[in-house]
Formats: sequence, C-alpha cells, structure tokens
Amino acid sequence: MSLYMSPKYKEQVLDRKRWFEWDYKWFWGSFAWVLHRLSGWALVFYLLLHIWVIHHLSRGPAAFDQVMQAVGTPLFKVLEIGLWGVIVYHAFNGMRVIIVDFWHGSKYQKQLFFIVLFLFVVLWVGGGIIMALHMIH
Amino acid sequence: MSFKSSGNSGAFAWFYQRITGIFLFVILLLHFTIMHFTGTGEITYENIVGRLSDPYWKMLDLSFVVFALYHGLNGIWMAIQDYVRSEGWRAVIYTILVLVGVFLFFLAAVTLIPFGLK
Amino acid sequence: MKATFKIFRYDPDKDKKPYYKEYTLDVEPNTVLLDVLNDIKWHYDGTLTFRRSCAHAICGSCGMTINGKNRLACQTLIKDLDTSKPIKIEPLKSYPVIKDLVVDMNKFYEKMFKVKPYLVNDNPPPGREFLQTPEEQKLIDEAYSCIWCGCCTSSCPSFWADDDYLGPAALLKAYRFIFDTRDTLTEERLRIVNDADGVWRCHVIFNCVEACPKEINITEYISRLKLKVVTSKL
Repeated sequence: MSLYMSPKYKEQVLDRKRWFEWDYKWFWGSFAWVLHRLSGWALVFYLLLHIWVIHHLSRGPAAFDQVMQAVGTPLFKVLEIGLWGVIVYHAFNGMRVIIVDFWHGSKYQKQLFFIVLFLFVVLWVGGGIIMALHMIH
Repeated sequence: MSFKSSGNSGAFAWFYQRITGIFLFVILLLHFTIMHFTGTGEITYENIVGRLSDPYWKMLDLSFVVFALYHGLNGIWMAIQDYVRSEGWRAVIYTILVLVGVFLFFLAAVTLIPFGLK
Repeated sequence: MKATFKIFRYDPDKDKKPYYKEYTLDVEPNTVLLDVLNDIKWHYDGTLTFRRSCAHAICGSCGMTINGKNRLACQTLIKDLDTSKPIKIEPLKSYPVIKDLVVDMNKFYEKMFKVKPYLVNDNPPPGREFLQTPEEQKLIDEAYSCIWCGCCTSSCPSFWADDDYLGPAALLKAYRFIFDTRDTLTEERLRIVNDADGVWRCHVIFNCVEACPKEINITEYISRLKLKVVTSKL
C-alpha cells in the first residue's frame, strides 16, 4: 500500500497548500489576471449602484434630480475618473483574453499585455483630462 | 460532484462570457463616451427620458443591462467557483447572485420600458 | 565564487515545523544547481533529501521552487540566479511535503491518469505504422515533450485555490491525445476535460508556460481544447 493510501497519510506529510502563493514569482500574466479579477469585482459593484441610481427615473423628475444631486458632488466626479480607468483596463485586457482564447494569441500574450497597458494609460489620462475639464466648467 | 450552475460544466459560461464581453466592449465604451466626453449626454431628467422614448435606444439599453448583468454576475460566479469549496456556501452564493440579477433586471425594466409608451 | 543557498528543511520524524537552513559554499558560475545540491549532500550535510535521477532534464525528478519559480535543478545554472542574495530553494508549491525537497506527487499522477495518457485505437492494425501527415504531426509535436515534472501544475493559481483542478499538465496530456489523428477516444476525452474542475478552471494566467522546463506553450493548447469542446458541443 502506498503512503498516499494509508490512513496515516495526513500525519506523515506536511500540508503546505495555501489559497494563494504570495511569494511565488510574479509574471506579467499573473499581474494581468489579478488586475482583471479586481477590476471585474469593482465594476460589478458599480453596476449594481448604477442601476439603483438610474432606476429613480421611474419615480419622476423630483426623485431623479435629488439622487443625481447626491452623486453629483466633486468626490463622485473624481471617483468617476477612476471608474473610467477601471473600465478601460478591464475592457482591453478582456480583449487580450479573447484574442488568446479564440485566435491563438498566447504566443504574443506579453506584447498584447503591453499594448493593453499602453492603451490603458493613454485613454485613462486622455479621458481623465476631458472629464476634469467638464468638471471645472 | 460539485455544485454547478444549471448542471453545466462551464462551457456555456466560458463561451458567453466572451460573447457578452465583445458586445460590452463596444457598447460600454460608446456609452461612456456619449455620457462623459462628447458633451451630448447632459444628464437631466428630460434629456434621458427623451432618449428612452426612442424604441431603438430603449432596446439597446435593455440589452445593455442584460449583457452587463450576465457578464458581471457570471464573472463573480467563476471567481467563487475557484475559491469557495463548500457545496453549501456555493449554493447560497449562487442563489444570491441569481436573485440580485433578477431583482436588478426588474428594476431596470420598470425604469426603461414605460417611457414613450403612454 | 561564494554563494549562499537557503534550503527548505523538514523531517517529519524530528521537526514539528519546517525551517530554512543556509549553506554557503564555493561554486562555479557554470555549475548546475543539482550539482550544488549533490555537493551539499555529499560533503556538508548528508541529511539533505531531494529527488534526482538523470540530471539531463528528461526524467523530471528534480523539479523545485527556486527563487520563487518552479524549474528543474538540473537545468538551472548558478550564473542565471542572483547570487548577491541567498538562493531560496523550496519543494514544489502546493504539493504535500514528504521530506525536505521531496513532495508527494500522487495527486498529480492521479490526474494525469484521469485523462488516460495512452493512445487508444481499436481499429484493426494496418499491418504497418499508423501514418500521419507532417501537418497532423505538427499539431502535437510540442505537446508530447512533457516530462511529467509537475512544475506547471504547481505554479498555477487556479490549482493553488483548488487542488481538484486537473491542472495544466493533465490538460496538456489530454490535448496531446485529442488532437492525435491516430487516437479514437476523442469523444470520451473531451467529456473528461469538459468539467467544472477541468478545462474551464484555466484563466489564461500563463504561469505554467513560464514554469515549463520544456518551454511548451501549455496555455495555447488548453485554449485550443476549450475551443474544441465548445465547437463540438454546438
């Protein structure tokens, strides 16, 4: 009988399994994946909030204006610029995943990730400036 | 055997996560551009109601909500399947996700559909 | 050249907890790490335990986590490691440890056998070899150079989270037979990988590709498997 089958197995081996190996080396692909997951969670919570806010439309103009005033403060405007960054990252990295899965892009996954990062920075900064200008006006 | 969504292996979830992703890529970036960049999307009650009276906008917005909810909640379900091993917790979380999805779709539908139908 | 090796130690008969022990010795930059481990075992500390056999990157015995990355000790040169700090050597992540650098690979093998890692063809033998065109051969050319070292599966975050996941090595093995034109068990193999703990746990993180000592583009083949499963279902 092998060690694995023996009832004493659990006592004889050291279980090192953790839900995430924090000290494993980080590669570009792991960064891309972790950021994709985190941005995804953030976007879902935003979506829930967004539908809740917009649904006040059905309660007439007064209710809608009131809720829009609550989310029209500078704090929310700044958060919206952050939201734009999260959207851009998740959208373009999502495209990278689709290219890898559907069109044999895995050979170029690192280059694709650099393109994602480049587009993320350019579009976030560009969009952020436009949104900040709208805010000032 | 582990708790699975509607007895499915995950093939459906994997495939439609990508299909809705492509759709959302286009429509979400467009949505954000109209609302925040071009200045055409002044967010006032009249403005939005005017747009929602157009049946095409209404259909687009409704499918947007459906795709976004499916994509978002399915994404969470995928992450949950990775990290939650207990069958009981999985069933609880799955039920919550479905309820949240149905409730928010209901909210969105009662908001979007009535405009312009009077 | 002096270098320090910080090695994971655990003896179930003596130690309650694992610990790291440092060994500092003279090494040549062109030495492979396996020779250094042998040197330590033979001349400094006979109690150090690790697996090794061929020393030529073909048996897959000496897979370990070296400076946080899974690789074979026998094809890692000292000069490719940062010797300014102690070089950290651990048993492969996530697998149970039997002693020092020796891990229990049973669960890994169990999954390899789950995908039936052998050719099945019940057609009457043609009286000669089963012929393939060069194009057909090219599909599986890279995929069958897997040496079962377990480096990829132990590097996969999906496997860390859930060790019921088949893992990159078993999925690569499944690919190798599903896309082999001589194999006739394709349908059953597709059913095996089309499972919540099968191919759908892969989130294209690419840690397996980075870890593979044979430089197999494992993620590419898993993606092809996913497409094959989806298209054969539609």
